Amino acid sequence: MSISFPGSEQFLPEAPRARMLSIAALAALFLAAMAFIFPSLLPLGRESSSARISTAVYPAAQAWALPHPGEGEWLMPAAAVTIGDAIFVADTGNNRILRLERERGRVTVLGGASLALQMPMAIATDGQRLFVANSLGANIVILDPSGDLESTITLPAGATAAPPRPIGLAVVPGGGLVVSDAEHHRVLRLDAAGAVVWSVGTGARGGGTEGFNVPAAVTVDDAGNIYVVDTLNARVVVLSGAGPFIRQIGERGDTAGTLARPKGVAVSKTGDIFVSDGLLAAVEVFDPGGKYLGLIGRREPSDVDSMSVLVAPAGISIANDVLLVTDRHAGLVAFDLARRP
Amino acid sequence: MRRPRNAEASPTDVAVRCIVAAVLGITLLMLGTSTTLGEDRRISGTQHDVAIPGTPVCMYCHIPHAANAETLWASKPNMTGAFSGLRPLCFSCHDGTVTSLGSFAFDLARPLHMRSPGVVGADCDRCHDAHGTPYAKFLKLPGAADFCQGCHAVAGPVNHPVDIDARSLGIEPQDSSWNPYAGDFHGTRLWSEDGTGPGDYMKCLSCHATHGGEPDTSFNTMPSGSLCTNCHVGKRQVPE
Repeated sequence: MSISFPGSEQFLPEAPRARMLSIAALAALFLAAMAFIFPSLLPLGRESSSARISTAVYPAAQAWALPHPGEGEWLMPAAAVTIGDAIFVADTGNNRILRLERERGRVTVLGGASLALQMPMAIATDGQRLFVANSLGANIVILDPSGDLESTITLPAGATAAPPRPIGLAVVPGGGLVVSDAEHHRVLRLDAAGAVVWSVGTGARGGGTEGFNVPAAVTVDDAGNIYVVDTLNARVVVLSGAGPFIRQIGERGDTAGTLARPKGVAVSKTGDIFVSDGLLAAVEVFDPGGKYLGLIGRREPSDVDSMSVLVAPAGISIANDVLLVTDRHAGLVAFDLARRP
Repeated sequence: MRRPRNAEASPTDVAVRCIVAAVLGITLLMLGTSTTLGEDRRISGTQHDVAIPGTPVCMYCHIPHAANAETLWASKPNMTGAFSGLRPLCFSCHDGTVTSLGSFAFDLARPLHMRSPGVVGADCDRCHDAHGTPYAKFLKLPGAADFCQGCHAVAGPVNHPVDIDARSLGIEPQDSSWNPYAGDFHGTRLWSEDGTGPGDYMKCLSCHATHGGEPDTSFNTMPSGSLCTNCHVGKRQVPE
């Protein structure tokens, strides 16, 4: 059998043309066979609805959203915490901390320029005081709820001359802090006076059980275990309160149950682990054993294919069964974990 | 000895053809899965080399796809609007976490240079090649503060002269300090002759901040009225 294309005769002599056509035909047959046997290898296979598995949507109804704070604007806020009825927001782009009273529609700037904050990336509370990771100031700023400066903790130097860059912190029940230093790829446990109790990380980009590649948000569960977002390793690392590695949650990917660019982490009172992902524009939820449970953040909560209400989710915190997501571009978005959508 | 051209193909020929077809097929499959062959080596040693030892740097941005699972990114939550295309990917590091550098470029209230989100070579990659370039800030063109001239033969509708020694002409901007890295978006900067630091020269980036101009302007560093008078006090004419 011969295959001919009109007009091709003038370009190729008979024998080479036949040889090329037979090779092309064989290649096409080979590809067809590969596509039949291994459909997932082909890019088109990813779009096939038959290849999909159903994704669970974690049962949490959106409670409210606050894209703009009302008085004044915030600029790329990175994190927020709640004390009573007040929400304290790290207004990262404006180098300040805001106190929001959502019900009253009131916004207060804490301390203002006198605090000299430089890119505050995280905020935590012990229920009374505020702890701010002042990332470009290389320190932790401690404020009372009215915004008065109580004290400052300067982080110790790292392995290189570059100043530390704290971008995550959590209060340890019983006293002290856990702080992530993105510049030196380490996590520091500080006592109540700010002295280093232990440090995990090699000082350079690393992975496995000893290292981090840009550790970011941290949180502590009721048992004292520490959860660290290991941003560029696309995982959450769980450390014991004494520092040793326990396990990791998540793996790199852009599908449900994997992580692309994790940013924030929180643990509910039931032990479920919530991880915000800046690239996937969602919060993914894992059970205490690390099993994927579902995602939060779609406009139609029961439809994973509906658009996301989140744009660039970052810091997350849980208080009174409300998951508070700080989105760098969409503002604050709250989800009621006790209410099904 | 060579066989005549019209001879039947031998079993050896058929086997060779099958091997060639297999190699071609595998190559096509690899290309089809978006493997950026060779880019790993190019990024190595640049500021974008964020890999830990033993891992390819590609995968930190070209997130591997997992088969047979719901593709969260494929649902494209950021398909349209100011925060779409490559911008979320760039911001996922330049947001104060992986680096604090350039986070000002993602203030959605500020205009930036025209781009076509998601179009290869017309998005952020119109000016930057994240895989590495010979120039600072991963720029694809030389010229520092005058790199705009790589695409724009003349400067805008007013055709303002650039690359001139302004101070020798008696021009002294009243506000000459704009520097988005320091949170200052306002003013008219004069540059060194090579456009890499402060100096006396009028450059494209004296009046334009490609990532963060004044709202409702062509990413100008000042509103239209004050942009001119910041240098040309009292309508003073610049000598030819």
